[in-house]
Amino acid sequence: MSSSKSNKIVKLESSDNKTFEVEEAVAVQSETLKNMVDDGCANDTIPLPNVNGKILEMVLGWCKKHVDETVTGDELNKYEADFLDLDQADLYGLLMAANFLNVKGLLDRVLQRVADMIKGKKPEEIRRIFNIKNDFTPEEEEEIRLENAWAFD
Amino acid sequence: MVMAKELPEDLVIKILLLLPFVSLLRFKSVCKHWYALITNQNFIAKHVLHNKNCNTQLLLKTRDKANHDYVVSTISHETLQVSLTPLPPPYFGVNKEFHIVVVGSCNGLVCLHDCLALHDVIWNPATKETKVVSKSNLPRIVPAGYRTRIEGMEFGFDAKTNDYKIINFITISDPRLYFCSPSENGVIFHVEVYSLRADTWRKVDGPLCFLSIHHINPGIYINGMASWVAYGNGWEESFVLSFDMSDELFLKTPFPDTYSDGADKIFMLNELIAIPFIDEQGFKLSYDIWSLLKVGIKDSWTSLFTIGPFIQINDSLGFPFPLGFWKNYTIFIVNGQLVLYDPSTKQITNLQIHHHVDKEPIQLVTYMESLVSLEG
Repeated sequence: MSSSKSNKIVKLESSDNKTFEVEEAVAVQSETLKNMVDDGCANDTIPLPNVNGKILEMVLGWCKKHVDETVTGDELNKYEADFLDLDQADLYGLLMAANFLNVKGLLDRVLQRVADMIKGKKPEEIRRIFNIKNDFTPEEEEEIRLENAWAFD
Repeated sequence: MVMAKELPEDLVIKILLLLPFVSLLRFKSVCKHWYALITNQNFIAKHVLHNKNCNTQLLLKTRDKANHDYVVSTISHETLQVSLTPLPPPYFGVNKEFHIVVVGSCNGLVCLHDCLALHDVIWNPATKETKVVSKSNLPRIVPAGYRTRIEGMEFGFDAKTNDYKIINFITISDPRLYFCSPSENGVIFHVEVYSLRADTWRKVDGPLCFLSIHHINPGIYINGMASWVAYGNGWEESFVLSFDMSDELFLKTPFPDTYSDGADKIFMLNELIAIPFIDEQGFKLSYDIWSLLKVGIKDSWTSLFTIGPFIQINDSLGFPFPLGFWKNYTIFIVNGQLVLYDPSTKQITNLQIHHHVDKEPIQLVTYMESLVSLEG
């Protein structure tokens, strides 16, 4: 039997040692994985030490849905909307994974979701969400607030 | 809930690009790194491009009925909420002697021209940064008794050189001949362009035509091109004159045949040139709005919709004159009041903004907030 691409299976292992097997057509929704496949590096299990099992499963689910020809446009839209209804920890993991794996469309959707989530927040909340240390002195911070005081209401 | 570790910078930038302007201003105080990212001019330029369509507002220049002070307001595109903005420092607390024209606005910068002192100011209302533009000292030959006039101006962006430019359309003419037998003969035409980057004025070749009789014709600026209604052949002919900010070349577009009589004003609608052609029948007046799909191509004029008819009730009430467009509505000025006209219901809403009706026209330009710096 010839090794035609459409039958090939790609094996992936998450950071917490869970293995996933997906069709090549699904895996190559990720540009990163596509490059590995094209370079012939996808014959053994591909380790993904920076993506945990829960997130990887989500990403692969997204990829499968986008390759499935039986899914209608409306169904896909609803799927994408529900998909992003996640808590912040998962959203962060998904963001990092979508970036690393470079999955078409997923990264853009997650970025937009994060932007929508944070746009109304105060700087203190932003620091908490992104685990950022405030390196301004209270005087410096006050000066910046005064520059555009109306934006802080 | 907290994100485990700090996001890599390229993801932070991608998220910041998606945020509305107001959020960016607030997030400047998150930390020094975010402050640097948000105020970086390359980032700002990218953000402006990204948000071009989401961020437009209207900037309105009026004069207060009571004390004649200039009032500059920004009107939110979403809600029509009006915010007052004080004029920048050279004009602040000014008395009625100044005559200010809004030349144009682009990428968050606004250019103002002082008709009496004859200098310009480039201003960013969001950051309050201003730059007074030195008067042009380009040589001009002015025969005795001749009058120098700036007929038209515009302000725009040259994307090729990342430069902001002001264009002045100047005529030097004998005032007696100008009104009696208007023609291009004996008139000296100058076109001068100011570059913010170089901070100098330069001469540019221009067509021999007129842009206005009395007031400065501020024209409009859309996507790298400035345009005005212009008059040639001794005022017999009118057309749209456009100037490409990058190539610094002029283009003429004749009006559609149905309206060879021309029009006085030019507007922007959905990022295209729009002209309200007047259709007057006795006491009824309508405006036929046409849009120019491609500058320079007469065949690309497209009829959009008609506003009106308006009926003149008596001589003291003028016909409403369009000032600009907002979503599906048209903004009109009627007897010093700004009103909103809905073409589908023919309803008129008073916007509660008043203007002192004198010789000076009210002005409305499209504006978007940005952190673009004048230092370059």
